[in-house]
Amino acid sequence: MRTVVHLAAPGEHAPTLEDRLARVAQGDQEAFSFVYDAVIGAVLGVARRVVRDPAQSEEVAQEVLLDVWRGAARFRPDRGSAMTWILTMAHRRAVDRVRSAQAATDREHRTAVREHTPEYDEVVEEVEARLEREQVRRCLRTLTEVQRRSVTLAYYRGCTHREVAGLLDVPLGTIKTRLRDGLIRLRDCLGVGA
Amino acid sequence: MTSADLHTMTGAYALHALDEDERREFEGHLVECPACAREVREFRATSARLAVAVAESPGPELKRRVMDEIATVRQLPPELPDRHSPTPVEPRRTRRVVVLVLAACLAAIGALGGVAIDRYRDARDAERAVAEQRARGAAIEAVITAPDAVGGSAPASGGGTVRVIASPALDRAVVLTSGLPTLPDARVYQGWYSDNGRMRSIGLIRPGTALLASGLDRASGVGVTVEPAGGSARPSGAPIVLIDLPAGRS
Repeated sequence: MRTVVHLAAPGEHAPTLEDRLARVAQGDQEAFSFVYDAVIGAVLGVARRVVRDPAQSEEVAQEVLLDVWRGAARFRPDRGSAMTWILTMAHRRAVDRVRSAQAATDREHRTAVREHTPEYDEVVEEVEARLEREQVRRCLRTLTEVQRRSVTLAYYRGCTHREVAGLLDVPLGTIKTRLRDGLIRLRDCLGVGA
Repeated sequence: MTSADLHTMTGAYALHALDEDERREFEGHLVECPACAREVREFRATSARLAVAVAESPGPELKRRVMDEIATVRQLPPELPDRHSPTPVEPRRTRRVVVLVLAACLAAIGALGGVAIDRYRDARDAERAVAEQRARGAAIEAVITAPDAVGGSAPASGGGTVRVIASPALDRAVVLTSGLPTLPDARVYQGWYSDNGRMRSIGLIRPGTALLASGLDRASGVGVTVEPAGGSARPSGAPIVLIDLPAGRS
């Protein structure tokens, strides 16, 4: 089995992302610049998946990077890697954005109402067509169809488990289990540790 | 809910897919279930790989904007002093954000407006608003000048004109109004996509400004209604104007 890709691409004696983040916590803008370069592609990628709109996705990415700057001192290495911490925030922010209606319009117009209508076939196809990392694609294939659709709808489209259940026409309790089972399988296939 | 039931929620929780009540209940469980906490951490690391798998190259302006902005943004101290201070750290999120999450994809409507204002009250957003305004201008121009742009205009029933330009390739539409009558304080203009008569909100229209709407999809037209302040989930009356978009788009 192939080894896990090094997300922070540590080179010879190169500081890890966690090291950089510790410098950022002290106000080091140069360290922040390195962190930005290391994470922005994935941050923007997940924002684009969930939010879709390019301009709003960039807003989300910008908010996430500001969160990193502001909250660097609150990163807890004992709870996972810096990359995971940042990408969890990115997904959270992206999900907030699609669930909070058209936020940019809100600010201009006080409020706005938008429906968010996922189309799972399109998502799954698009996700699979464009996944850049062979390993992730291969591992997603090891999931059952319902597991895979559940995970991709929740993660890439930002759907709640209730919506996933509705879209796949599967009982809510089943979806919770499928999401978990799917993630377990994906975790094991990708060789992700705690 | 039993502890076994709660344990199955690790996946949905890690993917931010729980409703607010469930999320809170699960977080209560999480502090006493180290196995769950570990599983959530693993799932978060797993889902981070899903993000990396779809990484995209940002334009150079984004970095410039971010670097400019951090120079003016104060950093938070290490500890978590107060639940109500804004913090990016999971899982202790502010209630306001929780309310946003509750709103969900399923178009919960109601109090969103106030919540959104509250959320964006941060001082730093003032600066961002300028940059966003610039980006919106560019986005509107892109729709108007798109090679596949289609559109039309029609007089509104109470006076004034509404014009729509839509670009299927960009999945966006721009709605421009002119000469619409001023409404009483408690009323607003709201724009809608019509999917063969089924209306999807695209937001409130402030007369004199352009509304940039995404998610055009296969909308067959664009309409405008008069709604109570804050807007409605569905049109509460007949549209004052309904503009058909040319059919036959892919």
